[in-house]
Amino acid sequence: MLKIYAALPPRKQIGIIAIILGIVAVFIGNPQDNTTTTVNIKELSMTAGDNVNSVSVQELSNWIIQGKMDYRLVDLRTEADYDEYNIPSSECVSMSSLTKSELMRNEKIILYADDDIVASQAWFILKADGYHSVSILKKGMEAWKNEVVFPSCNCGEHSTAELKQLHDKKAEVAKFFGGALQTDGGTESSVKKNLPKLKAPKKVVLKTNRKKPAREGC
Amino acid sequence: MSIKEWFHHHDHDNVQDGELTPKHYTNPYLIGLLLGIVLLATFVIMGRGMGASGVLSTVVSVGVEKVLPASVEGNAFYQGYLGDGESNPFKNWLSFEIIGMIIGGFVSGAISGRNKITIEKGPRATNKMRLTLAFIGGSLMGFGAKMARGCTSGQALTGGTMLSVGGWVFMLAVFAGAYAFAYFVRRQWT
Amino acid sequence: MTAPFYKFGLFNDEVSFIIAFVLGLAFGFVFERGGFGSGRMLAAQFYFTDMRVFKVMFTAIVVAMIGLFYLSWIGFIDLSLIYFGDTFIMPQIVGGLILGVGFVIGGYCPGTSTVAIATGRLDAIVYLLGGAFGIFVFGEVFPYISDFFYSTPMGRITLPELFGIDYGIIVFAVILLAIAGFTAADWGEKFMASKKEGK
Repeated sequence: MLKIYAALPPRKQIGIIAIILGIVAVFIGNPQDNTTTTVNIKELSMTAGDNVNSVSVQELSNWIIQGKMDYRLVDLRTEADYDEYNIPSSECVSMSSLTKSELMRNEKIILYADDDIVASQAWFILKADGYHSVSILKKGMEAWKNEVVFPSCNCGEHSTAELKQLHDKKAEVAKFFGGALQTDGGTESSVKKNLPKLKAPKKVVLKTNRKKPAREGC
Repeated sequence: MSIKEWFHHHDHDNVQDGELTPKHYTNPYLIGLLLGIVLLATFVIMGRGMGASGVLSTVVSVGVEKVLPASVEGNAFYQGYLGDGESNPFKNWLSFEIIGMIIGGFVSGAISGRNKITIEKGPRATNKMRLTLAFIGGSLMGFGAKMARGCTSGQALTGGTMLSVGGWVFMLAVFAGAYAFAYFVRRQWT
Repeated sequence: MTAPFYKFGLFNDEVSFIIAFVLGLAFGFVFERGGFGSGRMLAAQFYFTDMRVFKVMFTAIVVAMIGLFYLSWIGFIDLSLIYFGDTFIMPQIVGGLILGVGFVIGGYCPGTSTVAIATGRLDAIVYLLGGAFGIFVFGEVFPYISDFFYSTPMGRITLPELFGIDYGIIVFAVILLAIAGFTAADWGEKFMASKKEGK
């Protein structure tokens, strides 16, 4: 059979190669399938412990205030929870629709839910699907509530200048997000009981819009 | 062997009438293969395909802005090519690609001795007819390219490779339009 | 997935311009080499005497398409990050028809005209001037036709998505189509050549 092949003019040889590639393609079907994938376990286990994978609520709150919109903040909770209150600049994507979402593999993605478990599971799914930059918002919504919107600060009358600065900053940040600094100074449990229900952030005005991608037409 | 000899070795002459002898043009399938590889490289490196008409649009938009600034205000088409005023509208990927194309074309023509200041036309056409029709053809091309959001390099090659519906539909329309009208300008070419 | 390199931030904009230049060099060189710097050669396609426009375009498309398919299959390239324009059926059909007519009248398309200018064709310069004029006219009437311009949108849609058929099957179909087309094109050229001799 190879002799027949070698005897054909080069054009026909290439044509046959093309047809063979086409037939194999039919069996492959859809190369970027989104249902199965191969995971590089070694790589994943080495990066899993890294701190690059997490973002603290303080960092995030700073970014939002500065208007730095180079990330995509993903809220993994239910839509009802999302509508009730969500971190400004976030988008609601449920775990099951993660692979079908319009999140791109080259974007910086930050995940959060009520706690870290759901977020970690989503982290794994995205990393396995080839996303390059996925981080988790440490302690999720809990941390956001307790440290940004309704932070507490144990700074009494005789605090140092540093502490005072910290106190003022926390108050400002809290105000930006429609919350308030808790000045009860009480124990943690009493503070938790007094947390008012979070409303949707009407007062928060985001500084900049997402950067428009450069024109790629012809 | 020298570069010239290598190229001649891989060419085959197309047997046509005396004037249209393609002086050592390479086999179109080989050209297609090379072009396909360049196109693939563009996709792999840049995540986009080639393009050409965009540069002309930028030139026109910048020109119109200087001469008739009132037209440009609020006209989304021109604004799209002028950008947000922060950077030079010419500082884009396509401009550099076009510069490369010009130089690449020149070098190829120089190697094969095809560089000549001339006017391409068929045996029955006059220069005046040819230049007039070139201008008319160009205008239609410009209008059509913007309507279709691309030209053969961008929409057809890029869109075709990505199996974009619009790209394929566009490609078919281009061939249809050209074949349909070829009869009426046969005097110019044949 | 590591490709497309630019989209994953492997290099910045400035480097991408250098790459654009180098790719443009290759593009222009190959174009001219294939005879696309000559309006007569390009127009011959539409008189069936030299079908090189069709052959080059389709070979390039098939090669790149197969390349992308298999590179995606091995997980090297992320196809979803590759840009191609949204589909707007009616404007693209109408625009394509107009461009086709312009192509056969003028003898060039934008890319080939730059290569033609590089090799000294004066008519290509006039053609590009015409092109600028056509774009200007488009720009001026744009506010009035923008409804049509944005009509019949289908978004970023591909043939496999449109027909609900696997990507691989479409690839195979395109390959078959190309081979059939090339066979017909070669036959057409021979037919026209023999007709000319028979004259």
